[in-house]
Amino acid sequence: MANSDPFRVGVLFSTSGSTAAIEQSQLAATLFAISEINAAGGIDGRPLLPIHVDPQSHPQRYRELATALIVDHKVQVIFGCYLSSSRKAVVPVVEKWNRLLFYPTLYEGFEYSANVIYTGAAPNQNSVPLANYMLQHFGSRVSLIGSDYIYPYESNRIMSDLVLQHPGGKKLSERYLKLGASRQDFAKAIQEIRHLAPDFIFSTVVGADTALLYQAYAEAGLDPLRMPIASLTTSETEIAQMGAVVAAGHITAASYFQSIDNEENRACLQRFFAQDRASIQPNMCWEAAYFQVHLFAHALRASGNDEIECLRPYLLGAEFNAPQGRVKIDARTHHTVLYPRIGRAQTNGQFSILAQANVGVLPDPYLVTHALDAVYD
Amino acid sequence: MTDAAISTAAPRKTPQLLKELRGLRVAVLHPRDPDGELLVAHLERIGCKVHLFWPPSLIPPDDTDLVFLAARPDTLECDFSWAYSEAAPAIIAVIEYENPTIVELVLRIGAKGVVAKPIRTAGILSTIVLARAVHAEMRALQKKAHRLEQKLRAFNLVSEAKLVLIRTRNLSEEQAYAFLREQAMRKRCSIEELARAVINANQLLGC
Repeated sequence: MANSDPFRVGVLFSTSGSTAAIEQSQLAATLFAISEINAAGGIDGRPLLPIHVDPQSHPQRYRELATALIVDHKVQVIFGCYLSSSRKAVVPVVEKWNRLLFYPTLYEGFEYSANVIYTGAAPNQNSVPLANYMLQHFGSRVSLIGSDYIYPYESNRIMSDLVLQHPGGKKLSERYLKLGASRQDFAKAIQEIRHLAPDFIFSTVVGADTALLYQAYAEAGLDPLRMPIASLTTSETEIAQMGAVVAAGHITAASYFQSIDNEENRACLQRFFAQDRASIQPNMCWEAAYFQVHLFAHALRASGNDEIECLRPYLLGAEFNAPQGRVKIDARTHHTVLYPRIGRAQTNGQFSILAQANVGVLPDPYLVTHALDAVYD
Repeated sequence: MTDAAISTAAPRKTPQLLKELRGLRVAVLHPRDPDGELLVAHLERIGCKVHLFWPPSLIPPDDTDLVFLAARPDTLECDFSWAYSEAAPAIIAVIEYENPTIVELVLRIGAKGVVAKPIRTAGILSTIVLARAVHAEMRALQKKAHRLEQKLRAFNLVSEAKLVLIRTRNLSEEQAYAFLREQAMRKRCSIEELARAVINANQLLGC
């Protein structure tokens, strides 16, 4: 008799709290990929059964709910986490129980766990291409602004190092605002930057606060064509929150934009929007959340067992035709070979792609000193 | 608006010890078992050039920057004399037992850091940086202490020689010092050497 028991999988994304908007896109992508896999017959007839819990954007809740998924819901695998603080809360849990976490978010690097697969960009896959582009096209005097937590500190260290490598490179200011800072806080920060008149602003402001930064910039009447905000996290989702007109002209580096012009991406978006998910804006984190479920499903089909020790040999080195291109899990680092791109926001809320890598870039999460070098044509 | 919501960071510069992680030459004196392989794989991830050596009687190559050394019951009797040389690399002990016998070995080899088994990747990078920082600082302090000892020895010699001259030639302290300096210049030797000669001569003549 064929076994038709479902494989239970944990899904740990916030649908409330400060990072809910971006995490809801990751949740939607996860459920979308699962529905595709199940519609195609599941894993040899066994469907994937997602168990979603809402950690409300609080690291402590991520830790508690990851434990609950493992202990109460008996999952072997968890898809989840956005902020580094939430990942750091969950990693000890999956290590303790020897479970597997798929983490679909760019982050600051310097981590490797045998119990984690990282499908977002490491700094060498987004910070370096962004610095190259900004220094070439706008200049080397930069103001840094970020949310007050670990990802901005480390990203800004990398950006500072890169800018200072450039002849005449200068860091004019570096400011951090608490997550949930007020509109006036952002207005004040923008006024300071206006006086310094940098060549560009590097922002590591994340979550709902992103909208406040760009709105403060627009209200100050500054010109994105002359002094744009460059970011690694401002995606189609944040743009929908702030309003497309406010975002237009600013620059983001990411391995995925909705506007990527290839068959894989067009077909994927068509299938996604056909499922009546018009409220979700696909973005870099959505795409990573989507393809990582497919990589998992391929490995599970090959191993027939969802325990980490059985899955791992089939995950490491695995490849998949993702919307961004053919991605591959690097066996050495557990991170993913991705395609860096530079996009400029348009008035329709989408990005026009200014530059892109035509070969996948290997992740190098432990690189301390990044060198400026072009990965583009 | 609250001022507390906005903070300006101090200008940060990436420390040299962190920049040097990539390309660091690391010898791992550890059996080729799962822990050894995990350690080597993580060091390679960090970007170090890693060689695994076993048995522990092997001596790490001269150009080694850092050694991970398995401190085990069966390494207690090994000859670790290379670890005490002046140019010895920083050592991090890899320990499975934490009893006094093993901790004594950790002290004996002059380890500047410890990694406990089973090995976890988290913490290795910090341990490397800390061990190298402590090692470099100790080496710098040893050099400084050595220089100060030499200086003190020279100072004592010159003082003694001055006393001899003051006593035997009826010179003032300034004159005695000027005499020593002049003679040293004339004979193209250091003032300490001349001071020693004066003292020796004095002892010989038994004045």
